[in-house]
Amino acid sequence: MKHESLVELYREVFPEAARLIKRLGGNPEEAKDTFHDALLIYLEREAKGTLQIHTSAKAYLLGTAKILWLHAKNQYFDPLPEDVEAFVDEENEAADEDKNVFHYLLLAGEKCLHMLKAFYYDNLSLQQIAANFGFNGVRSATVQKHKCIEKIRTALKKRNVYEERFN
Amino acid sequence: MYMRNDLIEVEQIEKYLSHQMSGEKKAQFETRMLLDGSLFEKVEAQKHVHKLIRIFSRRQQRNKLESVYQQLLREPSFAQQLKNIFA
Repeated sequence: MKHESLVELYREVFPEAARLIKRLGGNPEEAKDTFHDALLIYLEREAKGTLQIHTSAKAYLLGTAKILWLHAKNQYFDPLPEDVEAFVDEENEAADEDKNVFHYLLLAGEKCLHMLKAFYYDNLSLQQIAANFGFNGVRSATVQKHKCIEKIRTALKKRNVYEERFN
Repeated sequence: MYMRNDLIEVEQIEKYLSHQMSGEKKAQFETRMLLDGSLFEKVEAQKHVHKLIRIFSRRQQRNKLESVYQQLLREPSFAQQLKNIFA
């Protein structure tokens, strides 16, 4: 989504979302956090091509925000959609995960990280990635991507060996 | 471009994890994993890398949303609207 469209969507929907979360007992900070979670899920589905809007983006975001809020308060009794459940689980895990974890990602270098995000999270094609990151074609972007993954994987493996030995 | 053997393995693991292997290839790969503990470890580690990338990407995306929020708060009508809601 383009930046301006995102700002527009935010401006249009957030006040309504804030009203909703307030009604359900939340404060301004919680309203914002819940809205951001809903937006992340929306944007992730959009990137993956699994976004299915039946009425409007606004209704979709409000519905997601409501489910997320009720679920966090143990007041939602239906099963969550699979991707929403994975999102919630991973975000809870990420909050507990020690901050050093990003240290392993950063070992691969900033360029690697941004490229991996572009490929896995933003779902850009290798053609686009080659163009955006200045690689000489798809093949070269692919090789670079594998190198980045391998670097991080190796660093993680060393950490695990270390933990097994000393913990 | 020439690809080192270890990178070919990264690619294979990626195909396996993203369900891009045919039934037969997948069965072969799973057998190899059973026999070769180090391959199994690499698959697990690569899964972990994918997860870390997702977590990292979400943090970046969250920062972006936060900056949109800060930008909108500078618009008086937007800020007033929020103030009224939580008044």
